[in-house]
Amino acid sequence: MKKDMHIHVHHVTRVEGHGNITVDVKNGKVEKCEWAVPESPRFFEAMVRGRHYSEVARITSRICGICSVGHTLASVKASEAALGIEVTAQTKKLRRLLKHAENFDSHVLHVYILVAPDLLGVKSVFPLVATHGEVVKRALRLKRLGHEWGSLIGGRTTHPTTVLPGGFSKVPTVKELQELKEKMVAAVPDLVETLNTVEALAPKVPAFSRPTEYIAVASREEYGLYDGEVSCLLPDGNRKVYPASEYRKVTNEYVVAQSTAKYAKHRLDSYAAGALARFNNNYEMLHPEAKKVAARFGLKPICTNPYMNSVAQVIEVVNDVYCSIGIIDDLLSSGIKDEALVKPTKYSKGASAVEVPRGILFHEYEYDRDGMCVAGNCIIPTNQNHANIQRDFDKLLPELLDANKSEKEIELAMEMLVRAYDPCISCSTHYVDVKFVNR
Amino acid sequence: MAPFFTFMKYLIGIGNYSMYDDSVGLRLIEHIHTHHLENDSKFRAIEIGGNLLNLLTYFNEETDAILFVDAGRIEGLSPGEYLLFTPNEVDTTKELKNISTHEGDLMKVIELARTTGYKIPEIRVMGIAPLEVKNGIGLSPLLTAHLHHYARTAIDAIVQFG
Repeated sequence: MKKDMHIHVHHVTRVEGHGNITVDVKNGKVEKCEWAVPESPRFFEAMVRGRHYSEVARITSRICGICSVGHTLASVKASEAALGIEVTAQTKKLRRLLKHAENFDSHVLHVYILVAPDLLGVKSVFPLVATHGEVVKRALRLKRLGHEWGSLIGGRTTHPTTVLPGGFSKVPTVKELQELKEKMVAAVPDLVETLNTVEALAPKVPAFSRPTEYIAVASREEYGLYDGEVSCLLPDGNRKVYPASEYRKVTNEYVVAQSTAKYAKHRLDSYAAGALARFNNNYEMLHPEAKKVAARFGLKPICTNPYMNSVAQVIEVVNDVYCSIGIIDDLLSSGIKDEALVKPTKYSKGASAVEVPRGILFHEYEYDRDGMCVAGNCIIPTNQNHANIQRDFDKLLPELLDANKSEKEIELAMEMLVRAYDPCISCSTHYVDVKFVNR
Repeated sequence: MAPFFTFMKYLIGIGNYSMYDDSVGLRLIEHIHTHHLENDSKFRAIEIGGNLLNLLTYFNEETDAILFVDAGRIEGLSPGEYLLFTPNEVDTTKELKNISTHEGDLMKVIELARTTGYKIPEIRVMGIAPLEVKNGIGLSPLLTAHLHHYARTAIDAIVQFG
């Protein structure tokens, strides 16, 4: 029977920021199927103008409360490119360690707190305290590890203070690194249980496929997170690689009427960024323990099911821990020491690419001869994913209608798809809102 | 294994730096650091932005007391006024569907910690009524004018507390 349907999800929940879904179906025909972002612009690129290079990362870190490590690293790397600064090997190792901390922390939050409720049939994490108390406790233990890990290296996890252009203002001691490694090793049983939980829930991940282009940082030195080239992988395996300085050839941003956020495209009419894009581009560079997890979940590159982004995040969580244990061992064997900040050798223009949990992030700045910023550009991964989410919707909705799914089932499937991308649409507010009951 | 965070008392600022008066908790901590008001033998002043689940890191055997500073819509308070209260004195009226960095509530995080067996230290909250919560870096002139007083009040409270 041809049916009518109207779905309007105002502010999809369990995503970071605000996005709306609208679906109109008349007599079985799709009249509207739209992913819209109503957030207002935040003008960070204007805020950095006229600021000294030493201040810029402090400002742009505030773009995001979850990806603040990534924004800080992208910012200092772009500034260093503009200022002719080559940081030391120790700085690179510590930054990689910090980048893994952010990835771990964010993925634990997303998989356990934002995605798991969908797969367990509840609206939020709160009901799970009663029904799956041990799972929630485990999530909070792992979250705590991520916080301690990031705080040790970055001074604090949210908006790190120790990361500066040219190096670190403070480095951890040998004892602190040894203790951090002990905490990571002690977390392995929780990781094993995480995998068991995800394996039990994996059959509930929707089966859907839409090949697209997958864009991520890629490197022969590491599973691309902190540094590398921009790798653009088509579903047939064709790969095109750019230096970070040519990022505009990749993003090709454009404006659409339905969204205040810009869209992006490269060789196809949209592309995907995020854990699945990283997995597809960097599979060979995964730690062997993470590869075992991928095999256990049957995930192989090139995976074209966007819902599997959450599974790719779990693989990355394991990768983060094992790679970081290796980095700590390396730091301990080479000896960690205080180093002076590397000074600028020029004042010009520079760009960087860093992976944040939600995908590839670009920063670019230009400095005058006094080291003051005259221009900035930041392109966040969630913006790069908006067009891809829309294209997924365009394919998914007819398939769901053909399968005679109910309005509620369709709504859930579309919300889950948005959540799978782990979008971080913009920051909102957190004020307390209370009334007195016992005073 | 010892936790990394071993101060006995914490003054913790919460908020969103780019949402104007919602950032008052963060700016109070900045003010303390900038003016060297932190007496590190007695407490540590930190800010955690909106990453409220990170609060659980400080809920451990080592922590005696925490004073949270946050912007708050609190009945009876005019913009710029503040109140110190304990979590059991209030009931949150904030509608919340889950917890994330963008959807959080201090009271619900404390409740989550309580129900999952965390050791809850003595907690007080300093709620400062915002004049305006909107997109924008900065603080309203009203709150800016009182920032030093807020900081002194918070310091006195955490030093005497716990």
